[in-house]
Amino acid sequence: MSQVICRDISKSYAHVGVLNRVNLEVHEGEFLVMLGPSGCGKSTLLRIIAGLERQDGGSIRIGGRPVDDMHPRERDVAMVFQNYALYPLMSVYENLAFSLKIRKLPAANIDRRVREVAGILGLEQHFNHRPAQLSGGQRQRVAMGRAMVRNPRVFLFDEPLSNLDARLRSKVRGEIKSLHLALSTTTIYVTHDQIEALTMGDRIMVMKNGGIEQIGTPDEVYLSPANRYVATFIGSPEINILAGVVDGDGCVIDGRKFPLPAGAPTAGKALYGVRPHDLMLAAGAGEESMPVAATVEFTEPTGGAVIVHAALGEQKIVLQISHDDGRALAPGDTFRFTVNPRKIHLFDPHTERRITAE
Amino acid sequence: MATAQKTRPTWRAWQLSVRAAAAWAVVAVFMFPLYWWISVSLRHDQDIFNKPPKLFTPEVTLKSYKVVLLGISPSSTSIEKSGAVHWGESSATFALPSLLDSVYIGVASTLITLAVSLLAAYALSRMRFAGHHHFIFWVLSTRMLPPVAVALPMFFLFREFGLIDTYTGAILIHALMNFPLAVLLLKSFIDDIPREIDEAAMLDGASRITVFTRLILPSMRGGIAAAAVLCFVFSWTEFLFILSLTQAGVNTVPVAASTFVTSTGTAWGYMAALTCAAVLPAFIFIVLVQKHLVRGLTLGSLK
Repeated sequence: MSQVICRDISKSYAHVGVLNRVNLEVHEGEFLVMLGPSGCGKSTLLRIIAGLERQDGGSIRIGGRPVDDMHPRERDVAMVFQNYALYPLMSVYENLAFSLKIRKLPAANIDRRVREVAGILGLEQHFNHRPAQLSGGQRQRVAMGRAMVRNPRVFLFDEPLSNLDARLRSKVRGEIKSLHLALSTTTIYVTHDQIEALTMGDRIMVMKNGGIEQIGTPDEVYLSPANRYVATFIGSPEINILAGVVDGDGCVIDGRKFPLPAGAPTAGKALYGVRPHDLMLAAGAGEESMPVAATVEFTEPTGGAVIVHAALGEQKIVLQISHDDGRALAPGDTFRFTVNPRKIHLFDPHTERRITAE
Repeated sequence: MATAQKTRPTWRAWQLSVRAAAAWAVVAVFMFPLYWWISVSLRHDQDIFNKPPKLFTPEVTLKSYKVVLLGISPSSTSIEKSGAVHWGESSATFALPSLLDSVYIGVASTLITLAVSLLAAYALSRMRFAGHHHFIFWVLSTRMLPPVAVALPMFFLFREFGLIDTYTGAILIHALMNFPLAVLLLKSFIDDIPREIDEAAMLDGASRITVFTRLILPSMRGGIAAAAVLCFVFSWTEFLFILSLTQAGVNTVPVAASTFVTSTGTAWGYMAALTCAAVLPAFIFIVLVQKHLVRGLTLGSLK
């Protein structure tokens, strides 16, 4: 059993709170992604789980055992660092074998295990190379191999892809995911990249200022974000958040009436959230879909789609529409669009929490 | 077009030769005193104060070296016509023991300084403890006083502990003197090694000691070599502490050289011979560690 349970974890540095009573349960074999901007405490939490930092309050259990008083080496977790932290004067083989040598395993076992892992990661031809002689992607794989070689109970990843270029990043992303499918070791993965979170995570934990904003599957955090912060942090281009007033069957924003989802309140102020790709150009002036008028400010072609930046009145709105629909739009044009009523997120203007019941 | 192609290389060559000439001129300015000193050590006494000075040694003699390093009596070399200082007995000018003392004290104090300051530097770089920053300040503060202000209290301390005029005392004072510098220098080298390497190793099952001996020390051979060179050279050239804390029993080169200055005159030739001879051990030491100075500073684990 290797689930990780954090109870009321608190941590502060020089009286500045970094983590504020965080509770988290990572299931056996799960791939959990901690997502948040830099300084939200996600790396600190990861380092506390690893034993590299000590929490001020709360406790951690790994595989049912409390580990609070354990040295990092006793916790049986492996970590992949952002800068890989390979041992610079050791060859790739020695890097991979280091942890097994320290455990004083028989040399034959070490060799078998190192070759096994190197085979999975395609590192055999680099056995005699020093880290300095490897490319970024290769170093990344050595770092993962070093973590895999001793079959730890938990893998910890601290932004492992941020030093790779964009193309390599998506490739290694796929590799990490397929490795997890093959090994199904409990994995905690820290990132500030929402794409990494959405593509890799079984569950995503969105953090802000040392607290958890929402924990859920990628679909849950994307389709029903718990609050405005989660809605804006996940999704690209960013979700539109418009200030409006609910009035009966619609929400009035800058004098225009937007549709409301089923079960919405019938009065009061609200933040109206809708993602750019849930907006469509209106084909005709159908009354049911309540088309809304806006003026184009500028457009950004992205290949298959066009991102349209438009002005409603005071407020701005961004649409992501197909290339065919968008190419005719020029700055200054007025157009009408419809909103998918099932994809609307209403947030309380004060608490910024989600108000739509779904 | 043709002329431009033709003139450009000559202009470039001219530029390069001017640059080289300027560089050699600077080197010459810095090397001249050393040359002059070596030249003095190889002269007869009457040639040292030629008027006008002669740039080249008129007649090369190893007399001063023989006197200083081999202990041959100045009078037996029968060059007393110079009218310079007359030395009654050879033991006053025989300075080879001071060279050996300098080597012994330099090597021993360097080894002690390195052993202690490596551990201290690792602790200061990697561990956080109460008063961490103050600690660094206090380490440094011992270097904020002029050595003269330290020498006198040290004299009383050493007298209490019976360390006056002992090798232990001389080694100890030089180790103490170099300790702050070595700690700060080595700390900066350890700071350059990513902390994540320690952490990765600890997660891999290594203890602090294993991290220190297997990962940190091999990665900073260059830094250790640099610190060793500085400690050795500072010990090699140190004058005041040895002068005030030792008497006849321990005698290093700088103090021995100063004894050639007497109330009746200065034996420039002997002084030059001794100090020129003293350049060699330091030079050999630096050459030995130099190859480590260059390597070891390349850390491939970083991005």
